[in-house]
Amino acid sequence: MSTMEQTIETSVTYVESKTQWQLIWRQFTRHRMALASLVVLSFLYVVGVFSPEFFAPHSVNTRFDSFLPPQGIHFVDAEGDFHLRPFVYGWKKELDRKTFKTTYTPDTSQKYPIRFLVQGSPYKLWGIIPSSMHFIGVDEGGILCLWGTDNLGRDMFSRSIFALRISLTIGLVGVFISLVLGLIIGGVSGLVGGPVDNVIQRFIEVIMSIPTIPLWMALAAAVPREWSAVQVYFAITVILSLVGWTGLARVVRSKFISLREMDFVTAAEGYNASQMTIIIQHLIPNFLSYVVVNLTLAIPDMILAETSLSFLGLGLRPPTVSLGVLLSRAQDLQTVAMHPWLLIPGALVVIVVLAFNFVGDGLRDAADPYQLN
Amino acid sequence: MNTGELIRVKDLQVFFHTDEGIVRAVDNVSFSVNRRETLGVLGESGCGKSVTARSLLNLIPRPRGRVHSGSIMLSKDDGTKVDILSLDPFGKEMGQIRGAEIAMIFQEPMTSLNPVYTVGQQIMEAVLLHQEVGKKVAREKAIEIMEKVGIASPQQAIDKYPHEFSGGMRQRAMIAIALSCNPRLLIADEPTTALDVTIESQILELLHELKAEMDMSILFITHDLGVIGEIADRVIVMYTGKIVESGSCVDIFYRPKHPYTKKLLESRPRIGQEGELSSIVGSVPSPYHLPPGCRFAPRCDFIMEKCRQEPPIFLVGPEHQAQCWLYEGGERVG
Amino acid sequence: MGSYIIRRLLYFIPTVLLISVISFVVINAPPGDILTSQIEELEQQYGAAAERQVQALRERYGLDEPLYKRYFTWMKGIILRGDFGMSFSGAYVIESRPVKDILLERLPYTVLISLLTLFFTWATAIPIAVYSAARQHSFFDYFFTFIAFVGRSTPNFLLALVLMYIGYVKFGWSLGGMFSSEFVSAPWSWARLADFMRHLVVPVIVIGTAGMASIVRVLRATMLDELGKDYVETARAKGVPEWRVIWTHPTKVALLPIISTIGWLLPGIFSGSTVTAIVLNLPTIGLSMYTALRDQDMYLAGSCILVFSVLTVIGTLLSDILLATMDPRIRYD
Repeated sequence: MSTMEQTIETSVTYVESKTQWQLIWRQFTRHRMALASLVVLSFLYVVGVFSPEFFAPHSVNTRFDSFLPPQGIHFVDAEGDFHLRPFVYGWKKELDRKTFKTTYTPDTSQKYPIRFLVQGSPYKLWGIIPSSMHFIGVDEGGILCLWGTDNLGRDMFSRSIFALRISLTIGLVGVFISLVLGLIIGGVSGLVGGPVDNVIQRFIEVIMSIPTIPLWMALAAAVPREWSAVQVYFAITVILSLVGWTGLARVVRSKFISLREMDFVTAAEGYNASQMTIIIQHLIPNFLSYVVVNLTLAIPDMILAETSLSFLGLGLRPPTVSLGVLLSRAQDLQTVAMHPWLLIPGALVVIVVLAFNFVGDGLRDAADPYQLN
Repeated sequence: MNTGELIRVKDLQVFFHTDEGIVRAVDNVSFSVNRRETLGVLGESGCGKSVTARSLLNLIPRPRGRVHSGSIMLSKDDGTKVDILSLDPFGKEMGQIRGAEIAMIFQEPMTSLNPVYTVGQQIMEAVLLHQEVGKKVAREKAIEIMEKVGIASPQQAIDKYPHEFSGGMRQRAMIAIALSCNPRLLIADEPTTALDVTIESQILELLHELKAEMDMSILFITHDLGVIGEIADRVIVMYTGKIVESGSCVDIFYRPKHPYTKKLLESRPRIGQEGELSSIVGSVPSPYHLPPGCRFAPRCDFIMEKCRQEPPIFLVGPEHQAQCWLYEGGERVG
Repeated sequence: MGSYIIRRLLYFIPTVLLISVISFVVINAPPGDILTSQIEELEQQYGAAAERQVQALRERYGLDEPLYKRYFTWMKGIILRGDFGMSFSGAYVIESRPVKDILLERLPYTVLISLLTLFFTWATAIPIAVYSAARQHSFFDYFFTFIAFVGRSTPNFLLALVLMYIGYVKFGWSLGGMFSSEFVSAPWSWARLADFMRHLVVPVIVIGTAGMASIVRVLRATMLDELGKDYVETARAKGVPEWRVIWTHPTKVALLPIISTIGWLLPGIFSGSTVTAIVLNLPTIGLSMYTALRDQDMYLAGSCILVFSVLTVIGTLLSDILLATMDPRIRYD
C-alpha cells in the first residue's frame, strides 16, 4: 500500500556516525563563551608568543618620561574635526613647585596619528631575521605609550606584549612536565595496584595537604640568586609542575584501574582479540579527552602561580619580563593609588586565565559522553 | 459510599517543545475515573500514559512541556469541583491537592525515595503538610499507615533508611507515603514493573485491599496485560498519545475491538501455544514523524484508504469505545 | 564507624611525619642561612676574637651536623618540648626569639581569618549554587557563573590591590594591616571593633573568592544531577511547596559529598591568605613565612609550613569524620 510505505519511510531516519573528535568539536562550538575564548587565546598567542617584537611599538627597554599616564585614542580633535585615522596627543609636563609632583596633561597641539606597519627600532625576528617593521607606531618625534609608562619610563603596552610571551609559555612547559610526572606516577599507581598504589596515594595526599604557595615560595627561595634568567625560568617551571602533577596523576590512576578491571573481565569471559582492540579504541579517546581537559584546566593555574610568585619577587626576576614581574612594580597602595595603570597587566592575566578556564570548561562539557542536551 | 465521577479529563493535550520539534505526548485524551474503581491505563512505553498521569497532578516539567489545552475536573472532598489545570502548579491550592486528594506512587522505589532521610521522616513530611497535627501524632500516624501496608515492626522500621529495606518493602513504604493522608485517587505509575513476580502479586493484593478499606480509586498504569487483567475494573488503551480503545476489563479482554488491542492480546504467550509468537509488524513511530491520519495504520492488518484520515471515536458497546474506522457504523463519541 | 575514625587517626601520624620531613628538606635547600651568614660576618669583622662565640653558636644549633641529624634534633625539640627552634634577626648582635612564641602570636589571627573565610565561602556558595541549579539558564545563573569564573581567574594579590584601591580612592579607607593607625595600640572599644571588622572584609573576600567559585561550580553540577532524580518528583507529588522541595531534598543529598571537601579548602585558604597577608600586611603565619624566607630564617620558615600542613591534615580529618557521621549511606568503610 502506498500509504503504508510512505508512512513507514517517514518513520525511519538515518543517523550519521561521526568520529569522537568531530562530535566533541561540534558540541564545543555550541558553547559560545568557550569558542570566543579560544579565539581570544589564539589572538594573544599570535601576538605575544609568535612575534611580540613586531606587534609591540617599542622594545622592552625604550625609555620615555616616568609614570606617563595612558594615552587616549581620539578620532575627533580639539577643533571638532573628525579624522579617519585615530591619533594620540602628546604630553604637557608641569611641575608643581609646592608639592614637587609632576602632572601630565594632554597637549592638544601635538597630534600624532597612529600608523600601521611603520618603521621603528630594529630587532631580529625570532633571533634570526633582522627587521624594523612594527605593527603600529607614530611618526618620528611622536610618542605612543598607550598604557602609560612605569617608574623607569618604559612603555607598559610594549612590555606587556613581551610579558605575554613568557607568561603564556611558562604554563605550557610546566604543564608538560606535570603531564609526564602525572602519567608515570598515576600509571604505575593504577596498573600495579596493591600496596604500591596505597603508598603512592598517601604520598599524593601529603603533597596536597601542603599549601601550594608557601611550598612554592620555599622552593623558589632555593633558586640561587646567581642563576641566569633562562635557568631561573626553567627552575620555576619545574617547581610549579612538581606540585601540579597530583591532579593529573589521580585521573590517570583511575583510568588505569578501570583498564585493569577490564583485563580481568576479558580473561574471564574470553573476548577475542578484535573485541579487545575495539575496547581499547574506545578507551584511548576517552582517556585522552580526560587528559586534554585536565591539561587545559591546569595551564591557567600555572599562569596564576607564576604571576603570584613573580609578583612576590620569588619567581622570575627582572630583566625577565612576565606579567607577574610587571605587576611587582605595583606592590603598595601608594604607588597604585597614584599610578593605577600599573595594574593593567593584571587585567591581561585575568583575561588569559579566564579564557583558558572557559575553553577547558567547554572541552569538559563537550567531551562528557553523558551530556545530553 | 457514593459512586460517581472523581476525575474527568477532557480533551487533554500536552506538548513538549524540543530542539527537534514538538512532541505531542498526549493528544486529545478524554476519560474519567469513578469513585472506588480501578482504571487501568495500558500501553507501550512512550504512548503518553506517564505524561497523562503527571498532568493529573499538574507536574508537567516546564518550560519544555506545556499543557496545550484541555481540562481535568476533580471532585474534591468538600463537594466542590476544580479544574486542576487552571491552578497554579506552584500554588497553595495545588499543593493541598497533591498528596491529600491525589497521590502518586512510582516505578522505582529505590530512586523515588530520598536516600538521606528515614522512611519515617518522609511519611511524616506528607502528614505534617496536610494534616494539622503535631510531630508526635504524625509519628503515630506514620506507624499506623506502615502497619496497614504490611511493613513489619513499624516502630523500628520508621527510623530506617530506604537502602536498609528490600525492594518490596520499599514499594510498601512508597505506598505508605502516598496513602498517609487518605487520598481519593491513587495514581500508580508502573509500581510493580521493577519488582519480581511474587512481590508483585503481594503489592497488587495490598492495593486491592486498601482500595476498599480506604474508599479510594486507583489509576493503574502499566504495559503488562496480566496485571491489568488482575486489577482493573475499566481499561483505557493508549497509543502514541491517543486513547485507541476504552471499556470494561471484560470488554477489552474478551471483546477487543481496536486492531492494536487485538494484536496486544494476541502477542501474549500462552501455555500450550505452538508455533511462533505473534508480534506487531513494524515499530512505534517516532514522535517527530507521526503518520498522518490513524497512527496505527502502518502496522495494522486492516488498513484501508480511509485510514489516511484520523478516525473519530466510535461507540462499540455499552461503555465501550474504539477509535477506528472499522466501526464507522456506530455512534460517534467526541 | 569507630574503626573508621581510628584508621584515619592512624594515617595522621605518618602523614604529619612525612610533611615534616618534606618541610625540613625544602627549607634547607637554599644554600646558606641567616645564622651562617651572620657568623661569616662576625668572623670577617672580628676575626679570631669571635672564634669562641662562633663555636658556641655552631654547637648550639648543630650547624656542623649532617642534615638528617639536624632534622631529628628539630623534631625531638618539637615533640618533647614544643620547641620549634629559634628565629634570628638583627645585624650585628644576634638576637633570637623562640619560633614558638612567634607562632603563638600569629596563630590566633591566622585561624580567625581562615575560619571566617571558610564560613564566608560556604555561606555564599551554597545559596548561589542551589539557586543557579534551580533556575538553570536564567540570568542569575549565567551572571553568577560568570562571576565565579572571574573569581577563579583573578590572582589573589590583584584582587586585594584592586579592592584596596577602590576602598582608598572611593571611600578614603586605608585598609592595610589589622587596624587603622589610630587604633593600633588603642584599648578595645566599639570603634576599634568596627575598624577591625572593616579590615577583615578585604582579606576574607579576597581569599574566599577562589574557593567559593570552585564550590559553586561543583555544587551546582551535583544539584543539577539531583534535581533530575525521582525522589524530587516524589516530594512534589506529595504536595511539598516548591522551595522546600529544592532546599530540603536534593540540597541535602548534594551537600553531603561536598562536606568532606571542607578540609581540602584549607590549603587554598592558607595559600591565599599568605599572598593576601603580604599585600595587606596582615600579621599572619603566611607573612611570617614570607619574611622568614626572605631573611633565610630557616626554623621559622620550616615551622610555618609544618603548622600549615598539620592544620590542613587536621581539617581534612575532621571533615571526613563529619561526613561519616552525617551521611547515612556511609556506615562502615
